[in-house]
Amino acid sequence: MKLLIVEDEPELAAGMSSYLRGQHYVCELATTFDQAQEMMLLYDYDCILLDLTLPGGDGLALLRELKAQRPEAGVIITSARNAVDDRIAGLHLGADDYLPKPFHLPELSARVAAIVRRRRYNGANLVSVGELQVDVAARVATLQGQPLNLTRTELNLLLLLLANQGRVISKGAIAEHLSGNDAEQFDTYETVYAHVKNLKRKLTEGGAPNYIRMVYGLGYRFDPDLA
Amino acid sequence: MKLLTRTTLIFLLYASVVAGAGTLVYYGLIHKLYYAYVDRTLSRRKLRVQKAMRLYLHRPADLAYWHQLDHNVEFVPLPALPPRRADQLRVRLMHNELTGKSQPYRQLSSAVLFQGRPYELQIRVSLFDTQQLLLRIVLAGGLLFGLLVLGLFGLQFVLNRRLWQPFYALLEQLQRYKLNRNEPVTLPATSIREFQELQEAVQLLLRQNQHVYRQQKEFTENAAHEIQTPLAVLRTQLDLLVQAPGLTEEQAGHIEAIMGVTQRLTHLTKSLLLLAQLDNQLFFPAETVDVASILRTQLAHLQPQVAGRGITLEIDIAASVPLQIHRGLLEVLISNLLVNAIRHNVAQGHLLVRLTPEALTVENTGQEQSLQEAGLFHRFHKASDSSSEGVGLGLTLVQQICTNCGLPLRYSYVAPGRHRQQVLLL
Repeated sequence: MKLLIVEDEPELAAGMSSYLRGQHYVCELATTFDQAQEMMLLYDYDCILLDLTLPGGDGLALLRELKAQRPEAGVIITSARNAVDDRIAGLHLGADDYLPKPFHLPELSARVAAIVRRRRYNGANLVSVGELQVDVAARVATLQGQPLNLTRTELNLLLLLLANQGRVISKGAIAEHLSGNDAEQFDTYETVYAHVKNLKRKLTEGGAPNYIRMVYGLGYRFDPDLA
Repeated sequence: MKLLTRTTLIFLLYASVVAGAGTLVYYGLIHKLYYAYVDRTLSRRKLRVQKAMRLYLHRPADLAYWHQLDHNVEFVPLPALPPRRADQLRVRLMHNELTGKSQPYRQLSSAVLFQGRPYELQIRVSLFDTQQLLLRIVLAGGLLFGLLVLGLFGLQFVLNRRLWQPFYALLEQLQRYKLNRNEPVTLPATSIREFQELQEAVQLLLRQNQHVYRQQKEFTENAAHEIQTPLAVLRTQLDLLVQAPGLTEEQAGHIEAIMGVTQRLTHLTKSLLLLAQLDNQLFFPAETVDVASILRTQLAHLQPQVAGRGITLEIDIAASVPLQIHRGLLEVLISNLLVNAIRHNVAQGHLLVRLTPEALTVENTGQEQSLQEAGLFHRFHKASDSSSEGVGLGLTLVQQICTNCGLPLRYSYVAPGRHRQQVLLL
């Protein structure tokens, strides 16, 4: 699966591609408006991560052009502008998602995974690990064919974990993913602990191996290899 | 006291003093003039009487007879001839047989000799009619004065009101003026120089303020914005760092601390950006949002925090409350209200969340002091009870969102240690 990262901040671009490569994506990089324009029109990408403020032009213009030529392209806008208008304009122009900076890499990975799934396997929107299967569209998780009775939050958490298998997801990233980006945050992570605990309990009660591991108090990791 | 009232009052005070004193002086003057006239008449009559005494009167009985005919001329016999002196003029009261009342008279007394015997000649003029006349004259004068004062008063009032019109128009505009609205102040044209200068000065002041305000706002916005990218780098690098195999527990502790402050910094810049945006932009695209469902979602998410503090949660939420509002703003509003009520709650406290189609009410136990005066909605205001939690922008955002969306926000201290925030939804 091929991704295009349009980002003029080198450290950020490097960080994003490093993380996403670890998730088995092929990442290409564009750092200017012209470069991005050329690449996104020449090649077919599963998902394009588009920054709005670029040297040489506005990312929204790029999006307009792209959508005129390849209406099916998957696009996530990653912007520091964080303006309500940009979000709406971006989504209106056909972007699939809007991720304001600064974001967590696991969150980015989860969003990319969602778009790739939607584009690759339209209809059958399934994620599975061993005996665990999640029907994203129907929002139902099953274990060995038996439905798990997960709450909405627990399902969201599970999807985040599944999109970042084998990676440590920090508590902050989980908290933001569960509560929404703009929500007021607590400095303590009771919410995260509680939801992870419940999810773990439901998985093990359903007969799944202990997939979810806490890593030193930093965060959690979903280890599929344990199965 | 209004300017107009004050000047009018001073004017009225002065005018009534002048009118009162003027009437008195006027009365005195008329009075004096009239007495001079009467006295001259009396003196002339005395000369005529003396002439008659020489030519036509022969016996004392004639004198009495004259008095019979004319009561105003009387000869009073004197025991001895008084020393020579000038005629005396005075006012005396005499009984009038016709009216049966005492009436004032002006009387001239002069010592005369008639056939070698001394008499006092008294010649009188009744002042009764004169006094009436005088009174009327003075009354007319007073009336004239009064009319003059009244006229001037009215004139001044109307004139002042019209003259000060540009001033009041300016004042009204300034009272309605809001720095963040960026509305121009339109002033009525005026030919009065002071007002022209005032208007110019005010315009200049407003322009300068606008400029400073805009600059400050842009600075906040740009600063917050410029921080976003380094923060994004910091976050991504941290997210990568935690993937490193073989991290020791100590290293993990350091990373956790950095992640914590990064989180706070992120939240702070986001809040600042949102505030700047709320200041800049008056209208946010609205859609129909179900307040009840957002409220339930947020409450479910905050459930662990509520339980962790042993807070008793009382919920009374209507099934569905549709509202035309920007979804993101409503989410921030509700989240901040709830988090605030949990954060500043006491252990084993109480939290009431009530949603009706009319209002969203969040009531929580907390410190035993009304927060009204505490600058509750000020930026970076921190409650005295809180630890280092929060950046102090939560309620500022709540208030700003309420202002932007036209939802009245009410804080009340309902009972000792019970605080209520209410957002009216109608």
